[in-house]
Amino acid sequence: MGRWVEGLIMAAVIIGAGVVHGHNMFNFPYYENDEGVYVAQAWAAGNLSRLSPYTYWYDHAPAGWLLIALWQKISGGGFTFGMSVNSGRVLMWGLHVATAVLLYLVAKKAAGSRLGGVVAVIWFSLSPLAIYYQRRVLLDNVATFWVMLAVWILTREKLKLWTAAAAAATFGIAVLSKEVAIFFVPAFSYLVWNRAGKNRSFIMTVSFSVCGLVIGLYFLLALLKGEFWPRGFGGEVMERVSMVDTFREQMSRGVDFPFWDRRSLFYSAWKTWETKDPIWTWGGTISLIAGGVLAIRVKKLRVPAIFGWSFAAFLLTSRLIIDFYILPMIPFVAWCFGAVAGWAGEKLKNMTRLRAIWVAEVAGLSLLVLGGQDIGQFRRDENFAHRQAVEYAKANFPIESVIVADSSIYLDLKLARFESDPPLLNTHWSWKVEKDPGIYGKRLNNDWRNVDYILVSHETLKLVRQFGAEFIKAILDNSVHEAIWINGSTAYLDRTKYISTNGDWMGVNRVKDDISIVLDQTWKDYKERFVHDYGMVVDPATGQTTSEGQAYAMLRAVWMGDKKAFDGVWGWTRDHLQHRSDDKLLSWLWKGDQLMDFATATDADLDAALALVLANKKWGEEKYLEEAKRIMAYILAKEVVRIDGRLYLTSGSGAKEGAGYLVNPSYFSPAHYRTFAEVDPEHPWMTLVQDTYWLVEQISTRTENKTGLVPNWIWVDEKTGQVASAGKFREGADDYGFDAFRLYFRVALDRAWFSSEEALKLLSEASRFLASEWKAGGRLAAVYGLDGTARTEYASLANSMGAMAVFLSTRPELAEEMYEVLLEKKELEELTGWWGDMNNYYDQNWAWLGYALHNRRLNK
Amino acid sequence: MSLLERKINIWTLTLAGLAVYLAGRLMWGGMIVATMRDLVIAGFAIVTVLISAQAFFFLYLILYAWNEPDTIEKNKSPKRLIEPRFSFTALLPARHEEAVIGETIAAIANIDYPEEMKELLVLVRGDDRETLEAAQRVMDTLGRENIKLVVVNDTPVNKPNQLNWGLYRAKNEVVAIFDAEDQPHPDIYKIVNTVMVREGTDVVQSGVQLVNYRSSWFAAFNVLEYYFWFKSALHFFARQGVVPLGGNTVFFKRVWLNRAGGWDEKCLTEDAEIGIRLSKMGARIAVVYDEEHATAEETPVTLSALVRQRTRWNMGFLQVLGRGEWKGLPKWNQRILTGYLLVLPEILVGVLLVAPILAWAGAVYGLGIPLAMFSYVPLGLLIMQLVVAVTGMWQFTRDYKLIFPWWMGPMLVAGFWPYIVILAIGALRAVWRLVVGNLMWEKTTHVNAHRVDGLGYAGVRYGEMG
Repeated sequence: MGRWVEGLIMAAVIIGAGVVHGHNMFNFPYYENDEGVYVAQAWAAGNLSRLSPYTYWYDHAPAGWLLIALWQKISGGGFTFGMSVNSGRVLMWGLHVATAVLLYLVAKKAAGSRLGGVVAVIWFSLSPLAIYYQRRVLLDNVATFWVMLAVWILTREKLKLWTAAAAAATFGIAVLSKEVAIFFVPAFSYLVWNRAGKNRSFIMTVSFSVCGLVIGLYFLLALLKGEFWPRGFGGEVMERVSMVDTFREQMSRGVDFPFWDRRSLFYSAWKTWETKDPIWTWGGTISLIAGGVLAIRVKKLRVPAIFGWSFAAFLLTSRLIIDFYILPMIPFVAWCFGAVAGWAGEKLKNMTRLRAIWVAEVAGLSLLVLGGQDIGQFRRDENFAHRQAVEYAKANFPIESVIVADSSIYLDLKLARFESDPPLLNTHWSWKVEKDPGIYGKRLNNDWRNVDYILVSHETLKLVRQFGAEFIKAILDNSVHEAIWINGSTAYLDRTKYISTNGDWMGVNRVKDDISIVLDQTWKDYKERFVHDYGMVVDPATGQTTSEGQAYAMLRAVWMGDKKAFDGVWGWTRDHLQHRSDDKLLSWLWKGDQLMDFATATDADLDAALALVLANKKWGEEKYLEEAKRIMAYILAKEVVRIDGRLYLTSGSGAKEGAGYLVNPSYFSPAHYRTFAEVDPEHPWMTLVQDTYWLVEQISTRTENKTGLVPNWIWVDEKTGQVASAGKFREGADDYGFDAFRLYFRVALDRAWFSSEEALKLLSEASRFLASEWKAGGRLAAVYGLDGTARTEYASLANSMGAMAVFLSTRPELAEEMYEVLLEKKELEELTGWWGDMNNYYDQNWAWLGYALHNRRLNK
Repeated sequence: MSLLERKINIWTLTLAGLAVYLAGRLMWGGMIVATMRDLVIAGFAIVTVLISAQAFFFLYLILYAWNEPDTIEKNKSPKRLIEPRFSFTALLPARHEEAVIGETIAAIANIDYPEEMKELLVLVRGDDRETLEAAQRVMDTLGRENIKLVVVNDTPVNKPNQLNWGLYRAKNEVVAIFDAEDQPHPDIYKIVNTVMVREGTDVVQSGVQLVNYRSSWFAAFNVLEYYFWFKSALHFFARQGVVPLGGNTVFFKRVWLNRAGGWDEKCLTEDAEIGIRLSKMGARIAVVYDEEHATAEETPVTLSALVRQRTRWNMGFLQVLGRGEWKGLPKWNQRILTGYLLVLPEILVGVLLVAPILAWAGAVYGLGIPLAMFSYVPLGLLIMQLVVAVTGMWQFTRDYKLIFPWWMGPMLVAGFWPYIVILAIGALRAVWRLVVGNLMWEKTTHVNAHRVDGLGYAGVRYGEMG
């Protein structure tokens, strides 16, 4: 009869704990980083004969993951149960069921009643709090099992010396599985003392020395590997890990507040426990306190109370408390609760039936109340995103990609899970990428640009927000969203602030390529140095703000996709420069706090209009297009003139000089016109394209022009369209210099965007002279006379961009050469944020535009 | 079997081990040639396993009595003593014992047992006038008829020879052996009588305990050896049916001694030797240990006396080993355990000699961390032995109601290694003497006969446990 009852209860314990913990265990809770770490370290132990895939630094003693390694071997590799962490979770499940059985036996014996044992198991197995942490692959779960096993061995029957030694060795393994088990030493000593009887002296001696020797293995390991002493010990200079240093670092973690202080880590852990299961947290605490007080008189409460309080003392005083540190407490708090309930039942003296009813009620109520709580443990799938992210990476990432990911999916990414599965060998743990010099230094060369993908998760954001991970932050900041799995997530997520409240989502970011990074960095730097107020571009050399500078900034902003900057600069421009009484064109000059000149500059109007058109395409807001069209209409009305049937683009509202107009060829931009024609087909933009190419042909083939280039300025007769020198109106008008080069950039844009044949012809003509100059000297003078003589000794970065634009479609090899010499080398290596003279407004704009054009990053 | 033959056996075993290893490698790695490093590693692993096993077994032996709480009680002397049934003849061989013989005779005479059922034979050589006179004096004073002086003039001049003469003269059913400085407990005959009647045993070994644990640093260790041996290890051997008898406070049924033909006069440890022969013949041997009834003895006074004593024992053990009587013991575990006991001191030497070589080989060839860690297991067990030794001393002082001085712990820690070295020297000397053929009992006797140790504990005296 008794055997049958015992058998039934045992079966109930096993099945109950097994089902409650096993059901939905692969889906809930989400894979935490530590789980991946231990599973991966187990894999390294089993397959690489190392204690970690990375440098092992004595962060934890290895017995826990050696057990997992053994399990992986037995269960047929790391992927038998799907994701790598699942394999570990199956082991945890087994350990939980075993621990539940041990707890039942121990608590039953101590209480002297089966119901006492059953109540303890209910409090151990059923609480959502317990389920949440016990399902996870955590060393604390392994250690808890060993501690419980040691307790069971000690309490089984009359204690023999060698049995005590076995228990001590088991306890030693518990400490080697997770060091916090050491805090059970007082309780363990008490238990041994209590159970030893006549041979106490020898049993205590042997227990302590066995336990000490087992734990000593950890230190022996460090000593034998030459990694025990602190770095620099004995004048040694080698870079290596050190057990002593690690211990010191671990000791210094956490914060120094008493446990009742809101800022203490205990307090926040307490809040977490309370959220997961308030009944267990408060009920457990009360039973622990009651058990502690009663234990002074009641002998059978002593062992659970002392075990509970030994560990509670650690939790209450330690600087560093992580929420799952509760794990080793759980069985002892449960035991304590069972024991106190059993003891209270016993107070019903001589009423066996009543007593049984009381304990049964406690058990039943516990069962209902604890088990009735739902935090999703049986239905939510928090790992959907993890599985999807792995599949996505396997399907889409090139095999040699450098990937930064949570350790929880590390093995799944890195290894071939089945025969045809591509192993992404260059996968790294985000934590190691941040902290391990062997990874960010040696492997990644201290340059986050060597990373290709980052799998963004709760853990990644936590790393940045909570641990100030700079390297990871840089990767995140310089990567673009590719995919995210967030359906059904309960997390509050704000990726810009690195906030996430739950780990049930995951995303994939692609790190920007080098070019984007350079464009990004230089644009950011430009904004910082040149853009003031909410969008006023100031040339520090003159203190002036020009419509040209505003328009350049607008173009750059839209090409960067920087809407905030775009709206700022355009807003400022509109507010300060768009105040002409009879048109909506932009006045060209502002200084300090006042408009200096109402006149317009056509190139700025064109560029601003183009920027607005592109902004409309990019962000879809109609207002941009309306504003663009308004400017475009006034350009045609006020800045374009018709002479002898042809359209001429003048230099602006002040172009009229004598019987003709001042024209600046570098304002010509067929690419702009064609773009305008697409959104504004009613106006003669295409005619302007034709007439522009015709006019440039006229200018560059004049007999005195030996270079095939255009001059900075010309003058056009208003009747005949005859072209003449503008020398008397503008200084240096006849030279090819600071204005003229821009024409070639704009024409190159036409070639790039519209594959224009006229553009190619024009560029080819310019190419001959510039190519011979470049090849002869390896540099170009800033200014040339049209007779081919250099007017300056010096070169100009901005002006060289004209030649580079020419070479792009005519002499690509020269373009590449120029690009490397002038733009690429320096900036790629140093990533300073600027080219050449950091305060040169013109250089910074044109080098950026040249860089972007060369790399085909200017989209229409 | 000669020592040489034994060596061949060891070599055969080693070669067989290597062959197994190579075969394993062949199957496992597909490699035919093992490198020197492989051999070193294999040797290292095998030796480490052996040393660990030995160290663990040793630990097991010294803790045997304390494994189960009730063992100690079971081993104690019977609480209720029954009526005398067996008669006793005490043999007291003595040589140059004039200082203590008187008291000893008196103590034996005072053993509480019916006069008609006991007899004391004091065995003295005719040329030992001082002892003869001292004995005669006490006998005159006591004036008991059952105390007789037996003058021996036979050769060889040694203890077994004297004992055989005693046996020849003995009349009673049980023969008891005492040493000249022993202080047997007055109840000892009643106890042995009770054990023999109740359990039907033929031989009883009662506890002997050294008690001068504070007189020198090595005395403490010597005391511990006796304590662990008599209180713990001996019971393990008794359970296996192997009892290496001590030199005194041993009680034999006379018929068994006669059947065995008395003691072996050519053996240096005749006590151990006769124990093996009796076991082989099927005699039932029991061990009784009780603090109250243990025979108190003292450890050698000087270190050199200790070394000489050990040398003699070890030579005796090797002699017994060489004669091979032990191979005739009925059960295989008895044979193994007896063989183990006889060479235990030499194993110690072997370990001490091999350890540095292993350390050197390990350093030269690089063992890998797991094997390197494994090689520390023996050291760990040795540390445990040390800790257990300290606890043992504490327990000893409690058992005997003595003081445990504060310096005892540190001293035991400090003296642990030196004492092991002392034991090793004893073992080494024994081997050396056997090898160079210095087997002459007479010569040893002669040399020691001229020594006058303060209390006279030279090799020639019989007061040592075998």
